Amino acid sequence: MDIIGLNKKYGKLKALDNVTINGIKGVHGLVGENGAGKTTLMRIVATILEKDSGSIVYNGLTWEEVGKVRNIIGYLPQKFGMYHQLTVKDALEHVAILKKIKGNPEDECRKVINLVNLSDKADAKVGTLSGGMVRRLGIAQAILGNPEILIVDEPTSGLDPEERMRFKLLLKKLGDRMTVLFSTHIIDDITDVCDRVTVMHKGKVVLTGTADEMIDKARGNLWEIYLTEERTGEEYDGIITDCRNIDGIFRTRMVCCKKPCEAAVQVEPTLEESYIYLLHME
Amino acid sequence: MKRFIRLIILDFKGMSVTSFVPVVFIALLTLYGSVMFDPWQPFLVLNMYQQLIPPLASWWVIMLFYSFVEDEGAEAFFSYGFSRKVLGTGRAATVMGAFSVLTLITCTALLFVNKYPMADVMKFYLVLLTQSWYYGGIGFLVLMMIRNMLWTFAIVMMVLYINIWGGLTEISRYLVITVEIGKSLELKDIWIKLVSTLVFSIVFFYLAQKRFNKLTFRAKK
Repeated sequence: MDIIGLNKKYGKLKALDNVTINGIKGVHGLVGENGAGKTTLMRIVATILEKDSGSIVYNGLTWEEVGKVRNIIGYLPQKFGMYHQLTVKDALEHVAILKKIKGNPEDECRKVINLVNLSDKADAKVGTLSGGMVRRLGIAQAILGNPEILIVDEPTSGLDPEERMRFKLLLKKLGDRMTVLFSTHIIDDITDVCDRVTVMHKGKVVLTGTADEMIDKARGNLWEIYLTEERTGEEYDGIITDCRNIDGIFRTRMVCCKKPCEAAVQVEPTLEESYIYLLHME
Repeated sequence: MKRFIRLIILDFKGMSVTSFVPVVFIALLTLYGSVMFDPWQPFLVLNMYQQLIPPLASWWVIMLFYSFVEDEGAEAFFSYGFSRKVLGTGRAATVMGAFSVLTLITCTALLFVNKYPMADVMKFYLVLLTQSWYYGGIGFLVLMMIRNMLWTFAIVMMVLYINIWGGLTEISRYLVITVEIGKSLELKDIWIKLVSTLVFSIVFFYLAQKRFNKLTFRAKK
């Protein structure tokens, strides 16, 4: 899938500013702070929001053909909480009918229920499920009908560590058979799940590449300084990413474009530090 | 067709106990009007039915469509490939059909329990039907326009209030058929109102459906 020169304005606010992402395949992560434009981009790809200009193309199919696009996408929004009174099975059957899925809707539902590991809750009412289970139900409704593109908006936020891990494994598994566009603001999710990632900031694309390429960008701009307590108040022209007290000496890591002081030593950036570098220094 | 029927069944299952509100209300009202109401005041029974039953038609319509405009996660609905025309028209027609059956039960009670003349009951059924479609149409249209369930109910109630007590307003002059005490319903007296109510109902449903076809996701502020 290729996203080319996408623009979207809300009144005077430019939510997307000439966003271009080429060659989206496998699991592609979208990362950025709140308000970076991730959700707007997701909604446009999910056909529920109209773009102002630009284009999206997938295997020759353009997003102007909304009807055809809807047949090949699955979408899990940030908040998914429908069908409280229905059982998991019934809720998915309802979605299957609305998605005009070919074949027997019940069989299709059974398949996705197994895939998201909700078989033992198939007859439970949606209102009684935990947050993680509802999110898995959300994924189930999105993958019903075996879409070619799966769009998931911050699916791991608010989940406990175990559910998060389970969810990431599921996304990775799905990434083998479909294109997954996955937004998050949790940096760990990228290393664990994504093949490639796009970093967004204030509606613009800062970088598209692999996690290693992200780190490469920040390489040479991460410094470590050991400071005594008296010197911790000193101001530096950079962003402190970590500060640990080791026997009264503060080991401080800092993102900075130039060497902040004589004692500073260049170190290897983590992905999170690279992200900070890309957002604020690039 | 089989899938559509299954969809409607699931729709009603999803509404849970709230789906029974019109049924219970009409059953209680019919029981009151046919068994307990003073048999010396037949036209008051008709007035009561005519004013209280039709607004209930908007209940199912609103409850069925509100998930598209208010539910958390309704965003996902808009990405599905279903035909809005089929879904909107089909759902509206089904619930209005079901409501027509409910009102028929009330009219049957009028015929057999209250012992009203068949011709009067038939004409009264026409009144109930057209007024029900009128309220159903208002509910559907207002919900699609303001995208808020509670406000939609409030507006339906406001229309009901105007119809009952605003006897001199244009709305009631052209649309409300008030059964006069001591007078039997004459078709020649009411047909203009029946037709105008029907025309308004069709316009309301048409506009609501048009809006539903173009309904897009709107983020809550």
